[in-house]
Parts: sequence; structure tokens; C-alpha cells
Amino acid sequence: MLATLGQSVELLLRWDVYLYISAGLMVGMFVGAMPGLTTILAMAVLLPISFKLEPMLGIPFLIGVYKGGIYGGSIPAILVGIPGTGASIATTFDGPPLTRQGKGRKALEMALYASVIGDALSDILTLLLIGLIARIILLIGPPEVFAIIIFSLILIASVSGESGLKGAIAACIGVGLGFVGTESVDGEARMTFGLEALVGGIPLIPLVIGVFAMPEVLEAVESRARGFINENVDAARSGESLRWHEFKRSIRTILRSTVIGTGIGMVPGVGQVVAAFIGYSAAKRASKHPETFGKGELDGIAGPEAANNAVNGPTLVPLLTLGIPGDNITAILLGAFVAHGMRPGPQIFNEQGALIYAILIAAVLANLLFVVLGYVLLKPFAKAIQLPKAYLVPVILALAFVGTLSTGSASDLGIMMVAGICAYILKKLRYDLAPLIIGFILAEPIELRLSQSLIYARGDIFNFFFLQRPIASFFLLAGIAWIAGMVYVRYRRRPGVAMIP
Amino acid sequence: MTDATQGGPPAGGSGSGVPATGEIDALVALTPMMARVDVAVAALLALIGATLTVAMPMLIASGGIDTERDFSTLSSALIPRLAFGSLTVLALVAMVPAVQTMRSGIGRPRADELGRMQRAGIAAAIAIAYAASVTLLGYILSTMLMTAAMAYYLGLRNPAAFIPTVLIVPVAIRFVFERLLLISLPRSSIESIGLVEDAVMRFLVRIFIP
Repeated sequence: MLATLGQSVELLLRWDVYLYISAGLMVGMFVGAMPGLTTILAMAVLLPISFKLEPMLGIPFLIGVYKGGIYGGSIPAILVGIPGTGASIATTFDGPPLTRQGKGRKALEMALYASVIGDALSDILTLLLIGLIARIILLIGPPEVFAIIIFSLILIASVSGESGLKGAIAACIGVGLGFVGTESVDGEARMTFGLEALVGGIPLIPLVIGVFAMPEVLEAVESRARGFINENVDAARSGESLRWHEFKRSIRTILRSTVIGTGIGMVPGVGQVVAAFIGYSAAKRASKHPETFGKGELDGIAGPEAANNAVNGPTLVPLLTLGIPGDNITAILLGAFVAHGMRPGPQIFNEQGALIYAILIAAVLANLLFVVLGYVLLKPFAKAIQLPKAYLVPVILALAFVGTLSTGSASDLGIMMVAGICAYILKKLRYDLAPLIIGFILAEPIELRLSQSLIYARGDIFNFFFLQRPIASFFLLAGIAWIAGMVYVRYRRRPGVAMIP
Repeated sequence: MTDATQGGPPAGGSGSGVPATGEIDALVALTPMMARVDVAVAALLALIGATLTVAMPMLIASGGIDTERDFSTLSSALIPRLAFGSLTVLALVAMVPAVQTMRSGIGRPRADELGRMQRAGIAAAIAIAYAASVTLLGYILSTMLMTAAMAYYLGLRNPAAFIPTVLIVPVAIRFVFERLLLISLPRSSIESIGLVEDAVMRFLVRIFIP
């Protein structure tokens, strides 16, 4: 273990690691600060760049985009009440009142410090626990892994969008698309429709860029508005800096929200939005002056911002130990790991432990850069949120094409465009697209683990899964119970509308 | 979630501007046009799912390593059939509320909905034309045309901003990605355009990469 950590530290003794993390943080903060653009768009478009770099540069670069993006969303949330990302919705409750009181700068700095502390502490906890969790997971077999994947997919599909049913449909589409190409068990080509290009399967990069970037581009041009926001932002008049005594008052809130975010981050599919709301609610309940919340309370910024950033580190736990991405961002990170020849799973800590620990330590150290860059770039990014769409949309589209062309095949542009237009239609119909990509990525592990399990079961599937393998049966039954609970809640919530007439 | 939002959004009863349950349903529901599309998409997904479930054995190319398989019911078609079968069932279930929403007419039409779709359609057409032209015209020229079309369409009319944007964006992207990140981008298949592209890149290399 010590030797592994020594090798990890060696990998971190390079200036370019920090250069790429800084670049990622800046891109993430910029994109997060633009209300019409999302972190996922930036990660999808920049994914191919990470492939061209060494894993020790490419993956921390993407982690930087992720961290910066979640924080960047709080800038417009505080200044104009428009969340840059979903994770910043709870920040809009107290941000604009603070800005109106001339305390915008204090709110922005509180958001920065809360984000960095929440992120850093959860990253450290992840670093300490992940090896142990991986060792425990090494003890379980294919049926358990299959059951955990199915349970996670049910969880992700049901909670990530507004309709669990549509989430499940998206997951099935993704899994189905994942079966195109050569089968992993006995090497037969499936659903290729005679096209040579599909024998290797549908490539991940054009699919990810199409699904995440194209709908955003098309949605951005839907409105006639010149920019993503119309409000005038005067960053120069945002007031004084945060004082130490004001920050000190919020430390307990930050720590509480960090615990909340860390716990939520370990559960696939729940994510930053829920963490931020719970962080806000917990801060309000614990406050001696709950009546000030919603009227301009710094704790109302610290609570959600620490919670949403504290989700970042722990989402890597299911990703790295089981190969299960908990949300669309970690799905892209999984793509980056796979492209660099690293297949996340418990064995990765034995095979490439030094590199994985180096990446995790880099994620912790990134927080130092995060606080410096966040402080320095607050004003420019606050101004940048008014950039006209006429500049941004062509650049995003051009970058999306570069990303797709980076695979070396111009035919991937066709896949990207088809995926993009279909994804746009699905998004307009309120299908969540995260389960689609996660399902696509998990199709191969699902097939492999289920095939192995069926071989072990030797025809007696029910006895094998439900009587001989208690952990597998627990997760499968939990999945069934979760679906039953969702259906029950749907009936209870809308008694007048039955699902089936 | 309800609890969590207590502090933030303006609170109030029916007399304080908070919509009643029926109004909330109307606001949340898909617009009449999108409700019809929702039904059509669910039906299409059910049809595709059912077709692939039934036809899956025919979609598997002969070959592979059959001897590796030691469980008689496990075949290359089994698990995809489960996935597409689930898709069919779920899409059929999704059709029920979709048809209910469409028939009830609960959703309110959105202002300028058709215009919004048209604008997205035009942007999609520009993107498709861009994709179709990139191998013929090369990355720089096709990106210039796309940038010009998109920027003009989005309201950029000032020549002092328009011309530099159209010229700089494609050249800068190509230079950064091709020379610094080693991602090769398509050169025009028309030789004269390709030669100009090469000359521009050589010029930039001479300036920025000594």
C-alpha cells in the first residue's frame, strides 16, 4: 500500500498535471456560469481531448471541468437568480436577495469556499475509503455484480428525471444500443444490419456528444433572445468581500452539508440537485433564525453549495469499485477511463492502483487550485454570463464536430447527428437522457455478468439468485420493491388519474 | 424535496398567487402538440422494441465461438431480447398516460411553440449541412460557413464582430486541436482548398511554434 502511494506521489510531481486541472477548472467554471450550457456539455465535447492526453493528465482535466462546472452554476444563481446548472437551483433562494442587498460578492465567495471545503473533505473521505470498499467488492461474484448493476440502473432511471417510466425507457434504449456489434461472450456480430462500421459497436464518443451536446445547441437557438440571460450584471457593484466572522458562522453548515453530500454521492443516480436541496433544508432547520432564509442568508448559500460539491468525490466510489456510473457525468468519466485502457472495477486497484490513487489525490489537490482560480476569476465569469449566443453556439458546434472527428472516422458524424436529433426530440418529451448513456455503457457488463450467472445457475435460475446468493437476492428484491414503491407513490399522488384505465 | 424547498420559493395559499392543483397539472403537462408527439414516439418505440424482440435471432450473424457456450438456453439473442422486450412493455405502458394527456387537452399551448421548433429545425439543418460538407470542403471552410450561417441566424450583424468571428473561430480551433493536441481534422478533398488550408496552418505554425 505504501509503495503504491509512493508511486502515486511520483506521478503527481509534474507541473503539467496542475496545468490541465487548472484548464479544466476554468472551462468548467465558464460553462457552469452560462445558464444555457451545462457541465455535461463541456465534458462530452472535451472527452476526446482527454483521450489524446496521458491518463494522468486527461482524467484530472475532466475532473477539473466537473468540479468547476458545479461551482460555476452558482455565479448566475447568485447574481441574477438563474441557476447555471441544476445543482444551483437551491442557491437561487438566497443568492439574489443577497445581491440586491449589495452582498453579491460575499455570497459568491461563500459559495466558492463552501464548494471547495465540501469538495475537498468528500474527496479525502473517498480517498480513504475507496480501497477498502474495493477489497470488499472483490469478495462478491458475477450474480451480485449483476444484481447491483440492475438495482443501480433502476435507481438511476427512476430518480434522475421527472418520470421514472420515461427514465426506464431511456435506460432500455441505451442497453439495447449497447448490444449492437460483436457480442462479448461468444463473439457473434449482432444488429449490425450488414454495416461494417457497426461490427465494433456504436462508438461512445459520437453517441455521448450527440446525446448531450446537440440538444443543448438546438435548445439554445429556440429562443429569439440574444444571450442566455437578459438581465444586466454589474459585477463591479457586487459589494464587499466576505469577512472571517461571517464565514466562521457558516462552518457548521458547511460541515453538515458535506456529510449530506458525501452520503448522497455514494448512491447512484441521486446527485447534486437533491443534495443541494437537502443541504439547504438542513441549514434552515438547524438555524436559530430560519425566518431569514429566502431573504438573503449566507447559510442559505453555504448549505446547498457545500452539499452539491460534496457529491463529486463519492460518485467515484461506485464508478471505480463496480464500474457503475451514478450519473451522466460519471458515465463520461467511465468512458475516459475505458479509453485509457482502465476498466473500472475492484481489480483496478490491484492492476493500476498507483495511477488510480494519483488521480484521486489530484482530485483533492485540485481544490487548492479551485479556490485560487475561483477567487481570481469571479469577476470575469460574472461578466461572461452575458456573452451573446451568436458567439457561443457556433463554437460549441465546431468543438462538438472536432470531438466526433477525433475518432478518425467521418462516418461518426452521422451517428452523432442522428443521436443528437433523436435526443433532442426525447428531451422535449421530458425523457431523461442520463439513463440512456448509462444503460449503453452498462450493456456489456450486464450481458457478461448475467451470462456468467446463468452458467453458474445451470438452469435453476430462481434458486440460484434468490436462495443461494443472499446479496444478489437482496439487491434484486430491493429493485423490485423500489419499482413497487414508485408505482404506489404515483397512484397516491394522482388519485384521479389511473395509470391503466 | 417538498420540505427542502420550504425556505426558498415564495409561499402562500390559493389567494397568494400559488396555482391550484389543476393549474399545476396544466403547467406541468406537455403542450397539446408535444402530447401528440409523445404518443407517436411511445408507439414507435413499442413497435421497434417488439420488432427487434421477435426478429433478434435473424439479426445475429453466423460465426462466433459456439463451443464456449455451455448453457443451452443462453444465446446471443437472449439478453438483447430481454432488453427490447422490456422496452416494448414500458413503451406500451407509457402510451397510456400519454394518450390520457393528449385526450384531456390539459396542457396549455406554449407561446411561439411552432416558431421555437422551426428555429431548432433550421439550426439542425445547418448542423446537417455542416456534417455533410466537412469532408468535401475541409474543416476550416465548412466551419467558416457554419459559423457564418449560425452567427447570422442568431442575430450577429455587425461586420466588425461578424467577420473576425467567422475567420478566427475555425482557424483557431483547427490550429489548437491539430497542432497542439494532435487531433487530425479533415482536409478538403478539393485540392485547391486543401492547399490554402495547408498554407494557413504552416503560417500559424511559423508564428506560434518556433
